[in-house]
Amino acid sequence: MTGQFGNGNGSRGDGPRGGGRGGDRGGGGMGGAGGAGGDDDKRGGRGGFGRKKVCRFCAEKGSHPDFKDQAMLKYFVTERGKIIPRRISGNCAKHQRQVAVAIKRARGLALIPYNALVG
Amino acid sequence: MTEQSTAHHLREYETIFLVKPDLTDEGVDRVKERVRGIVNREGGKLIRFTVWGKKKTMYPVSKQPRAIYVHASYLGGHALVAEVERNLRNLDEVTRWLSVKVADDVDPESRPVQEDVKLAGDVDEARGPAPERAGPARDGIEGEGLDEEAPEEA
Repeated sequence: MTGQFGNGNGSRGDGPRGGGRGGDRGGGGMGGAGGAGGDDDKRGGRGGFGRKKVCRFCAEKGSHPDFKDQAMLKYFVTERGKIIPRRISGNCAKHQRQVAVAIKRARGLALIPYNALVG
Repeated sequence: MTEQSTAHHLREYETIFLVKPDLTDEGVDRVKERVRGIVNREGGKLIRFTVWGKKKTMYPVSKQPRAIYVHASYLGGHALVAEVERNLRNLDEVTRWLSVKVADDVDPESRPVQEDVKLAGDVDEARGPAPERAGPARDGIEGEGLDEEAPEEA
């Protein structure tokens, strides 16, 4: 008999539930903020810790990921050979995609392992 | 969009291929000359070969733990890459290859032919050409001369 069903549930339709994507609320994340300084909901606390990371390719003008550069690529790969996610490495979206492509090419050329056994 | 504009611009490609590690320098040169011939025949322009040398691979390639890496940089049309790869596939010594387009619309005059480069690999087989390794390459003189012979003095 009470009107609890129609009592304002509709007003919360597109509120905080849709705000899981922290990158939208970060504003101006043009490669400078990297999204690590945004919301902390989904941070595992593993590497972000709230400090802002800069995409190193955006910071150095003209540099881009190269699959031949093993020394540079190993910074974006864990010990087991997995690609480090963007929220930890601090890359912007464009360069993270290029890094992923470069890592996969390097894996095919045996410059980086597919699966490294951690002894 | 064909490539037959008046400036005759070509695309720049690079191909890296892996060769079996037991191949000698002459064998590697033979593969290089074969690729050079293909590029010139198809109307391309080879810029440079860089032999990275014998390197340890991260996983066995053709059941071998090492491979010789060769990098070729050249200009050409789109059919040239297919022709190069087709020939690499036929060679038994070549185990892997990867071709990548580097740039579009490159003026051939602006990229001169450069000399081939041969780098030392990072395998310490001869103890000579191993500048990157800083550990196991130092066991040259290791107590072999510590015999207990009395020095003979005349």
